[in-house]
Amino acid sequence: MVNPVLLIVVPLALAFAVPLFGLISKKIVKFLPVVALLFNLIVSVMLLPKVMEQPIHVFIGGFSPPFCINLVAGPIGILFSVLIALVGLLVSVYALGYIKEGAIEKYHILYLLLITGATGVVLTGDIFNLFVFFEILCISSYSLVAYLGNKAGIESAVKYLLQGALGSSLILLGIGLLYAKYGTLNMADLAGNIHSIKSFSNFLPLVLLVTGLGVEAAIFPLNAWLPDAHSSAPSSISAILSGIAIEVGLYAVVRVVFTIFGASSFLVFLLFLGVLTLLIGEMSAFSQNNIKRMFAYSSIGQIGLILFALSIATPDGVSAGFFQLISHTLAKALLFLAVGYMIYRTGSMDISSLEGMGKKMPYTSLAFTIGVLSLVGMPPFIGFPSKLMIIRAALLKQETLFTVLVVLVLIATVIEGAYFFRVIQAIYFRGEKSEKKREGAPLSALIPLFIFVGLIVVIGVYPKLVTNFLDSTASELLNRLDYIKGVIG
Amino acid sequence: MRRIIAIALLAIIVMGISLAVREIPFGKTDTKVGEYYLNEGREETGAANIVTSVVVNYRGFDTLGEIAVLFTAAIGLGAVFGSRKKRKVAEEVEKSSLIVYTGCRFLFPVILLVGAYIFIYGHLTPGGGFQGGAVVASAFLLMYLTCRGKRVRDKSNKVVESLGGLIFVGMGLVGLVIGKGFLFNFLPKGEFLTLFSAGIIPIIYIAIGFKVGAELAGVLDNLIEESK
Amino acid sequence: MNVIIATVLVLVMLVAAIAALIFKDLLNAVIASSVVSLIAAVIFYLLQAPDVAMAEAAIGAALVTAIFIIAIRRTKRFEE
Repeated sequence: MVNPVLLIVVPLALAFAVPLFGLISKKIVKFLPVVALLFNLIVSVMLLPKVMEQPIHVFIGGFSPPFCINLVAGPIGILFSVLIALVGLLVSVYALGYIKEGAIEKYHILYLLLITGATGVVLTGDIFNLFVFFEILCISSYSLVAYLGNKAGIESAVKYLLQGALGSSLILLGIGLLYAKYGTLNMADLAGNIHSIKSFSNFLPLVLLVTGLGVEAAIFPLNAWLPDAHSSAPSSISAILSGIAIEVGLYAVVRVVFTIFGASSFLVFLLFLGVLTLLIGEMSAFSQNNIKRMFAYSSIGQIGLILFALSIATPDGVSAGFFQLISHTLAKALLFLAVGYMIYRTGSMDISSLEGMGKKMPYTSLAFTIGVLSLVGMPPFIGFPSKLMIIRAALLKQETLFTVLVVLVLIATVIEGAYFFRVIQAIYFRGEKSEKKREGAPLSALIPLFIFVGLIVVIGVYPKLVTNFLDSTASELLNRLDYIKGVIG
Repeated sequence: MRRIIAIALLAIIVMGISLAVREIPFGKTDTKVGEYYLNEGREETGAANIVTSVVVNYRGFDTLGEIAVLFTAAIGLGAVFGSRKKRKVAEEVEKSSLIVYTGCRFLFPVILLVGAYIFIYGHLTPGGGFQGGAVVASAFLLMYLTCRGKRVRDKSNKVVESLGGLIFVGMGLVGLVIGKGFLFNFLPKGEFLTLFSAGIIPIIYIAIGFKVGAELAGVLDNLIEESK
Repeated sequence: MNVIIATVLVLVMLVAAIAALIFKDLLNAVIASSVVSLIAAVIFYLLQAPDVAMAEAAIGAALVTAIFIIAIRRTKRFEE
């Protein structure tokens, strides 16, 4: 059985080794992320059936918790790890042909470090370790947004950096207050000591941590950086940011609220925040003309939807939330990758310049359309069962508050369908009469696109492939006492 | 207007923190994890400096993460600056005067020695890898400011940086291979208060010292070279 | 006696931090923020944490100030 620590250490070691490989030959540097992520994918998939019954606990350094750092490879951790490795692998194959200019070696180092940070956040069981890996994730994404070096990219990266640095200071303040009061940094130990959030010295760290982690998770008032950052980054990086980085931020928020604080009274606030984020994201996306900004606002909306589903706090709700997270990651990564080559061929990001793409790049447009339909929630794609599960879980609570919120969610879905159909109309039904030469995307881009399409279709038709795993994840998140007992005993 | 909102938010945060801190006594001595480290740290790790044993041995994974953060920041800086076109290499720099140049040539190895002492003896005296690396980098800063015209060689910088990181990860993986867990302290603890004690701690700190020094010198090189 | 020293140091640190915000000449602002770092290093030493004091002095007072000065040289010196 492979030690889950290797999921974090292997990408990190390869990131340290890339400059050495770069001195030998510049051509093999771009294959190193593919190798590392293939390893991660194989190990995570092998570990997945084992952790469904019993989480694996790794104690680093050979001491016992809470005097050491521990990793908790449970159902949520390994499921996220599979998702990160899968999306990371497909985007790194895409980047073999897409990244041609700039400091290529440094792109691949930063990419491997981003994957290390994301995997570290989801596997760790210690709150300061979460902060350290969260910083690795954030700093590498700031640099990758500024990678192209043009004015728009650097300006959005600076905005992202300032807000992210402020968020990190708030997280550190929250961790400091928790350590001063309880004397330990282990998540299970803290959870065992925190019984209610009525006292102010428990409430303030919760607020500070949620605000600080919420900057990366793009929850409503804290997401001002997202539209600029996701639209000015290179398209492979936009796919990783929208697909992995904000989901990992949301995981961190949810882990803090559910496991460390166990705050069931705080969840009502998160419920409202989720719906508010959803409505604002979808309404802002409606009036955009720049395709990548439209996708960025749609990501904000979807994060609101996932937060709403997770805050329902029943096993159905949490499973639905994680299912929607998987569906959004697959669809949004597919969309950004497809749009990447379309923008490269036409040279502009306006929706009006995508007219006629249906004939010029037929395979890419097909993949794009499938992604859009999945995001809106059409059967037989993965978006349909995930949204259905969310609405069903909310209605099963049988309170008027939830019914009202479900109505708002449906209104947002209708708005989403409206603006996405405008894009499909531009691609297929308004063609340019003149040049009709077909220049499709290269093979290194088409293979990942169609693997994504395949996954979206297969899981959409047989959602039971994934829902077995989701039940264990829901029970891990909601059963705080089992988590504490598993680590400390 | 914006200033008033900023001051109001700051006042709310300060009031909140002071209300929360009132319930936490300052400098209490019965902290759970801290007590354990103070009592058991000396026998379990063999290092005289308890801070070092916590940083490298008990919470070594965090230190590995911090090294990665520093590496990310340095590479990110290099990526943003490297996308510009390279200026022409041989530019006329004004030579510094004789006194300044001689002073730099005299001081530079002394500062390097102080930095090396700090990170080699990190497990016995206060200090360690990060502190020693920062002092080494400030020696290079002195070189850039006074002996103008001398530069850090790019290739050797990269090799030192990568090897430093790989040695740290490699030490951890040896612990994994012998079956006792990542970052297990597998070398003998030796005699207390000598240089070769405390297992893998001095080796890791030396690797960290070299890596941080090379990294920060590389950052300074990127910045100063661009500004000419 | 210790309380008086600590209070004086913290007050000087606060004044320097506010001055760093108010100065229009950015070079003066950078020097004020390096004063904040220096006093933080002294306070860490008074709280019996020599490792942290050493790190703060080497990084905060020397390297960060140098990087800021290089950045000011490449952009503008006076803030409107």
